Amino acid sequence: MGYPCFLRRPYALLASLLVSGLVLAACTPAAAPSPTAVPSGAAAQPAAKPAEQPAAKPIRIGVPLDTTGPLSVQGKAQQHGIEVAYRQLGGQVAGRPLELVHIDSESTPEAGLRVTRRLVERDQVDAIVGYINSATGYSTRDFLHQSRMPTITMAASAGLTRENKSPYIWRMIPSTFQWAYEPAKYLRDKLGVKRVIFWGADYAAPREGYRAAKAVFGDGIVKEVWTPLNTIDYAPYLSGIRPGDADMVIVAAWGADGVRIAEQYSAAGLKERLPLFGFASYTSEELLAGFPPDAIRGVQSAYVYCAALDNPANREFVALYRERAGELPGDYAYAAYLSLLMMARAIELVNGDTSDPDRLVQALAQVKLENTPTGTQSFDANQGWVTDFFWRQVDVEGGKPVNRCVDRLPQVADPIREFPTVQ
Amino acid sequence: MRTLLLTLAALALALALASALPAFYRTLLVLIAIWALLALSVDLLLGHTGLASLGHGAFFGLGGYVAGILSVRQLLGGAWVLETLTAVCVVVLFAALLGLLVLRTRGAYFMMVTLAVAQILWGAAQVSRPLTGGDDGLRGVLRPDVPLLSALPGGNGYYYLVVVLAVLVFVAFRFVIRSPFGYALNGIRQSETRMAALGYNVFLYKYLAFVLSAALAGFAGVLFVYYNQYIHPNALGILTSAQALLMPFVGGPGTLLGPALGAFVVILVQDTLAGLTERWQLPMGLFYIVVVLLMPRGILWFAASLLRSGRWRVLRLAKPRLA
Amino acid sequence: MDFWVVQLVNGVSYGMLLFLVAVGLSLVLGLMGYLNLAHGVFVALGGYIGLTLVKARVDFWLAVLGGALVAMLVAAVLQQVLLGRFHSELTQVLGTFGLILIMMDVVLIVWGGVPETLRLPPVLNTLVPVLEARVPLYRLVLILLGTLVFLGMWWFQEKTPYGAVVRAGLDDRQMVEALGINIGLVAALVFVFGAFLAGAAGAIGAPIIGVHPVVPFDMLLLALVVIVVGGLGSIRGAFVGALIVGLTDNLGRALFPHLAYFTLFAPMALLLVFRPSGLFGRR
Repeated sequence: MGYPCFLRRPYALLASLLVSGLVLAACTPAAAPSPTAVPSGAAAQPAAKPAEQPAAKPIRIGVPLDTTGPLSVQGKAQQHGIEVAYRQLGGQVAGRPLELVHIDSESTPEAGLRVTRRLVERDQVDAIVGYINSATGYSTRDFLHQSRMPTITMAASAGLTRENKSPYIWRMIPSTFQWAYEPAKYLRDKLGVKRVIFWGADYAAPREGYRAAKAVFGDGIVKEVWTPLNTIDYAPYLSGIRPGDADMVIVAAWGADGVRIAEQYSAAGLKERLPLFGFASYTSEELLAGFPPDAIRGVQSAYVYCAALDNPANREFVALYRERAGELPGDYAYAAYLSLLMMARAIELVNGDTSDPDRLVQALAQVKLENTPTGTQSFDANQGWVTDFFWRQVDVEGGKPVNRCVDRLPQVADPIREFPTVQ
Repeated sequence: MRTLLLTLAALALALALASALPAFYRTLLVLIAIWALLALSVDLLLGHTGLASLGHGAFFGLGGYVAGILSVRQLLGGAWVLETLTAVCVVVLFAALLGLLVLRTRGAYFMMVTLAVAQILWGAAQVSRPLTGGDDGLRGVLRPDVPLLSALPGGNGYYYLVVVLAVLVFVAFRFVIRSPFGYALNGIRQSETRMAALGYNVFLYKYLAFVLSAALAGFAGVLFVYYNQYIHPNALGILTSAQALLMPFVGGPGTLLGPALGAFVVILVQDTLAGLTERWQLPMGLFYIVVVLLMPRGILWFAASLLRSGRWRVLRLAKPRLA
Repeated sequence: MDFWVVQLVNGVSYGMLLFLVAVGLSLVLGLMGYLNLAHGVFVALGGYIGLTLVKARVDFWLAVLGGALVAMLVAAVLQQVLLGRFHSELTQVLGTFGLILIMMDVVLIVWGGVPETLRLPPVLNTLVPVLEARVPLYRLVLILLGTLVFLGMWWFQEKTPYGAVVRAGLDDRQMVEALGINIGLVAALVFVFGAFLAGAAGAIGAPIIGVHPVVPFDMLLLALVVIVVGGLGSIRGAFVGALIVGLTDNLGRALFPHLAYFTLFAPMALLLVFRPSGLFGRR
């Protein structure tokens, strides 16, 4: 075949491939290739007097996030949320410059563990804020505990505040039981829902959510639908759902599965006659754009944030976030934003002394953020997050789906008493 | 005698290197050693027998899961040697049964069948949540305690144990590929019909190579689960298998050090890229392509062809005599 | 009764999608012995381009065509520039695997990672009575399309001189070359056409397959299963294999949801034991 002459020379071809690849990789919008955020200019100052605090030495916080792989949307949102918090902190905490070490944990638990090792052993960070994948929560738990690394994790692994608790790991995302129990009660008590069909992707998190729903609805769960992860065609399952069977279908499945479920559910003509409720981040603003507007209109959910909240703190947060990310923040971005702020506050409580991890984690127990977009944030006795939940319903505005903030559930905590073990 | 001295020298060198490295790089070295063993197992089939397997993750993961489950549930009282032996035996049994079915195919079909097997195991690991932890993975695996080696820097005797075992396995492998058995495998790779005409039971040789390769992969899997103290169904999946196939390819299939070199390069590239940019998949994909185009027989052969008059010891150590 | 009708329609329509995806890969593998793991990339491209066009308010069918054309174009470029350089099975596997990685990042860079799906024109969502059940018109359209493509390809291969060349090439490539026919060109055309079909499947099948960065892997796996079951290098094999896989997967999930991971691979493994070259395989 006659291809252009330069392409015939393999080395030229390879060189051009390499160069174009590197250029593409380097020119990615949003996160710059360099993983570390800009430390403020004070980093190079030598200590002037011996009596001064070690003000020049930056505080390094490792930020492992899933910016590639199936969870990349969440990871990116978390990253933007953390950058907004960094900006609000002015790039420094307790008089010391703050340095963030971003790294990709690839949406897999082995990579999560590998990059955690790197952060702890090579980059020698003082604390870690990050994660989302619950398997990664489990894969990194032992290493973080053995390394005594103060960590705020956003992995929803319920075991982290139960059997696998470690004094060093604090969770800034609702546990599975947490996002299921109160919202299920709200459905039953406030909305009068009696019979539900529970639809869950078949893995740990939805199974745990199911236990909470069962505790609330009991025999009211008239049918359970369990679909394997990455199921492409939901038709076999949809054919078993008839509108008269229940008052609502409650879904615990997210990501690509969640979108396909909503789409195919709506296409099967069910949505109008049997409303859909999505647990946790089902309609998170970050993911909302992926749904066809007609398929997601009217779907309700309940989770930790609502972008349409109208108060000064939220207006500022949304504005800063939009500047960074070009779109509205959602639950993931918000949790990440708060996580960095919580860690920063804990560091302030120990006057910037990050040398003693035990003192730092004791400080985490005391942290209480007040003037946030969604009210008071704190940790409970099991190192889980206590925050307000918001009841949302999707509406379509200008052809795009948006969340309306319908109601507020104050200070929802992990129901450890009712569900003391993961299994 | 010479072999013994060389082995001891290699061991001493490896231990010295591991001790001298800072903590993070030592852990990376251990990871490289584990992958080198997996790559070696793939190469036994690929570079020596001529069978490319896209499913070695199955043996790797199976070994890891068996050892992991035994450890987490303390079924053998925490005796890690027993756990290791049991895991390898289970893998051998599995491969022995599988080999009877799978070895009737070759080429692209063989790749697809091995891929399918790995996927089936992957699915099994996902659904058997009570046993394997499902998609959350299996955590809480206890790392072997090695008092003798824990005296070395870092205090983690297990890491040094892995290094020692890796060196020993490589030495043993050298014996295998330079034995009549190994030469027969190479002959099969070059021409099955010729070997059959010479009176060799080709199927038997392929079968033995298959089982041996699986055992080694399973062993690597055991080392892996102790290293991470965790394992996830991904260890059985296509990415693991593809990477295990890439490594001997990069380093030089059919050589002794090729798989190890390949493991070293690939892991290092991966680690460096992860630290540099979030868009690491792009350069990684390019890396695969560049290696495939530029060095279709791996780094070692490529280096050998560059140094045409090479009388370099390294390469002589690396090349099997009949290649 | 209507349960079975719905399952049948779903299984067959899903199978049609799989046929469109897998037939190109099967022919290329049979004709050139070329294992292109990046075939799923064409499906993803079709889906993403189709999605972009639909969002830009282009007519649905034009968007599907657009997705297929872009996939075809990319396939042509790739073939000329890159794929021809991978000579052995191993280099093909690793090289095309590298392509998948690159594609996944490109998709992330250009479109972001939000999982999406294509909005169908409302007419396709209307429910049509079939026997005692009601099924979306969309599914019936998929069945029609798949059947038409199959018949068209079969007719082409069996009844035209060009098809004869393809058949001959599948049987004995060297002989065809010896006769002076440029089998390389034929293979290239087959490759590109296969990409066109895959891209079309990606676009029209988006409501079922979805549009997200992991599509290349998902589709690759499914296509491989279809080929293994149906046999290499056979259009009939791809069609029958795809129907079998589509039906077993659907029925398996509907009847035995817990065994979902197995309903796909176990039949394949079983078949391989008894008939290693697939149902209609040529080797």
